[in-house]
Amino acid sequence: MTFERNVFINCPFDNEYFPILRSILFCLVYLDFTPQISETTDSGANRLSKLKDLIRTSKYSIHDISRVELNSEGLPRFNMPLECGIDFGAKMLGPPKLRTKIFLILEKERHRYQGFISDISGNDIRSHNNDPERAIQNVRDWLKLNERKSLDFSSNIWLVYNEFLYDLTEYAKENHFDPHHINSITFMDLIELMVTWKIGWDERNHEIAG
Amino acid sequence: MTKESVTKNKGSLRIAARSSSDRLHIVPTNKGWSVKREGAIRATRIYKTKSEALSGAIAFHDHSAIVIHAKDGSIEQWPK
Repeated sequence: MTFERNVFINCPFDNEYFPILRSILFCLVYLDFTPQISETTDSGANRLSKLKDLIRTSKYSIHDISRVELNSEGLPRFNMPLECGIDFGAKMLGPPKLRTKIFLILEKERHRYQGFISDISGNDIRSHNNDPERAIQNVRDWLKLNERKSLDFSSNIWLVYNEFLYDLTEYAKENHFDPHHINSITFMDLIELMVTWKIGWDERNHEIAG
Repeated sequence: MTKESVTKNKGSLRIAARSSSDRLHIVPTNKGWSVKREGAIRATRIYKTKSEALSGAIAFHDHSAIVIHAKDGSIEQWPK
């Protein structure tokens, strides 16, 4: 687990958003980065303490502020902007290492953020339109811009991700969980399954190339 | 199966990713409908519509199992 390869993910934890989150996690694993995400079961002081560790150990951060609208009780969802603010604070006020942190802000629509959180203008802000393929493109292109290394095209990652989902769904049937429900397995388990699948995928391609 | 043991059999996922298959995946993309052979890195061909992609996949290899994906990547239609 190295600072340079860790990507902190701050996003909504709900089933409607899960297809976007899952595609982002896969894209990171596919490109050999390590997603850093708190679990849905973490709460209160424990959650903030974990967030502090995730922020401190990650060079990259993805903040998705696409779901800040009012919930069913008429209350705004402030967790994402709060965590985004903590991360900005770490970058601006923390030790030199944390000042190298790089952020991607994901939004539902372009320029919508200017109506409620305009202070983040000037950062890398991209819209995914609630489309997992666009989310993969956003993340891949952002990493390409900052890593300046050869990375597979996002269109290819999207196709490989679909193949992974087929295998994951078969695996889920055999192992009795719902692959499309956010609370069915932990994020740690999901990431572990993605990493395992990617190892097999790489082995297959090495065999073909070799 | 409990959450704690959900990765216990993960080796089978590694095998699934490694294995060769004739399975074809029809995937909606922002450029159209891609037909991709399992394990390939790139699409075999991109079609304008899902029905064209399905016809193309059948013509490409009529013995292959065909998987049709939904816009979020999940499985819309399993192989028959």
